[in-house]
Amino acid sequence: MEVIVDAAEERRFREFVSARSPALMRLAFLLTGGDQHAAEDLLQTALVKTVARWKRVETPEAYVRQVMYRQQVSWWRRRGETVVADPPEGALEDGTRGTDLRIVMRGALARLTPRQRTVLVLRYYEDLPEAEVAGILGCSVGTVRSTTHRSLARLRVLAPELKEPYTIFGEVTR
Amino acid sequence: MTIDELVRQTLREWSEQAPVPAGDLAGSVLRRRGRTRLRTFAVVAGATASLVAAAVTVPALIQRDAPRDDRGAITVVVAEPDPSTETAADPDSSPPKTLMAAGTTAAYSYYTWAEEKISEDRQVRKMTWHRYDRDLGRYEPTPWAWLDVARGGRAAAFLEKVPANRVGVLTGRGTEVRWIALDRPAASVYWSPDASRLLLTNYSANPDESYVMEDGGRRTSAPSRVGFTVVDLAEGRSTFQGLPQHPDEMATRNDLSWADDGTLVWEHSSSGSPVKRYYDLRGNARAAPSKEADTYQEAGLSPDGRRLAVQSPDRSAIVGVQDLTTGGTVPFNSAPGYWIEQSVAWADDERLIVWACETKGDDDCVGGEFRNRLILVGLNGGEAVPLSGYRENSEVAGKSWEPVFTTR
Repeated sequence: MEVIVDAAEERRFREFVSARSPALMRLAFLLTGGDQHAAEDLLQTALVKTVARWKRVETPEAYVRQVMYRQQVSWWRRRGETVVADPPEGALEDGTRGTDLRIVMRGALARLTPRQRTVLVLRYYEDLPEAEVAGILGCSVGTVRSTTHRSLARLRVLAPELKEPYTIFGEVTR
Repeated sequence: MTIDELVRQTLREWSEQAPVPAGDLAGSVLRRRGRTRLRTFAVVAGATASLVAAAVTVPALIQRDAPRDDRGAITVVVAEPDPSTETAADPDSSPPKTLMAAGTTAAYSYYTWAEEKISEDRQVRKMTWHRYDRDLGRYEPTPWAWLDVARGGRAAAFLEKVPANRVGVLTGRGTEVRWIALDRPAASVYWSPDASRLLLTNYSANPDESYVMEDGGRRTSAPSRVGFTVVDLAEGRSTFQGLPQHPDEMATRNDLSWADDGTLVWEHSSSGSPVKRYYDLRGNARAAPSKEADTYQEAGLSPDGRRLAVQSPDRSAIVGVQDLTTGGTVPFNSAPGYWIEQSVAWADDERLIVWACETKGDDDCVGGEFRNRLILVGLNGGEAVPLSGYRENSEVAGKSWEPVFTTR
């Protein structure tokens, strides 16, 4: 294990956390479906793992993100496919346009299984290519595609307020 | 708009709602890392067994996987018939010169460490052990590379080097040393809670050796743990079990320690929860006993088994105390003038020995979080009793030391 043993490295770590923790927290927040406490736990756990290997990590931010993805994969494997987050308050209010539509969508995202949500976060927030998502999830590219497809379809079921005939990969969903 | 575009927009917008991490996140991480690191490196405080006058016999010749041999059995002195429970402290010294003890526990040894360069690109972490000398009434340096003092403070087991092909046992009577040969070299030794057995962790190379880093850090070699050896002193039997390092562990030193009841051994798990992995004495993975696996806190279970030192449930403290009868956990920071950073040992059922930094007014940790001392604190508050002076920097070789507490 490589550990920080000098003040200069510790300062570098503190500066990294200070500068990048807001962005990393945003990812953790999405991965956990808007659960602030779970997001804080996820980020802190990832940082503990990162600091333990600090000297070998060339790109700390990428490393922390990878650890969070994998941690989330590992947690959902242990927990099974359960919905762990409640939808944000007011998420299912009526309204189908603009901001309202996105609030409805948040509620639906929060109610996905962690696996479904993680796939969508990796694809649409992190903009990772399918092959990279497959590597993180330990599955084939085909499985990433089918999981993405099913997750989007599930959003439509969870949020019938999304009345428009949105398309998934060019297919009309209803 | 396609639904995936809506998802993309929603995620971007939603992420902006994420709270900014509160408090000193880096500091929290470094403190957690410190505990994790300590666990991979430090000796675990010893037994919680009740205090009785006890003795175990050590056959003159320990045989490996062989029947008992009683030739020339000798007695190891383990505990006083009526040990003191008075508080002993050396609050002006760091490291301490005279005994630190409270209630049913005492630090009969402590160690310091330093990196020594052994070639152009290799270095080795050397530990220097000090043992409490009853006759002189102070800690004295030892020549040993590893030391573990049995409960009672008289008998001791040690390694002359790391790794070593034999372990020495000081019986507690005079200066006689019994040597026990090992099939495979070992880099640590611990007394079982009842002081009848020794647990040694075997390595094929020196686990404390590493590459020299230009900036003063250390990068370790490949893990070399091969298993562990249990020496049953009473039975005169030494048994090796293969148990290579867990693939998730990066540390090269990953010693095995005794569980509280002496029937299982455990290793630290850096993957989070649970924080310890347990094995039986045959090296088979086993479920963790009671709650002791669930805590990073060194102090663990109270002597009566009713309380567990844990992480604080909120940010008002670092250490928490869980009542195992009710399941409730309360933050533990009841030491005026101090910020409690880590629990080390239970002095008795109502008092904890902890590392704490000094606070003045609204200042966090005067001199930084790594300047800390051992204090004795009651669960119900009251004045904290300093047991040692302040370590200059608990993270830095040459400025720090680590005590090893065991039952008096």
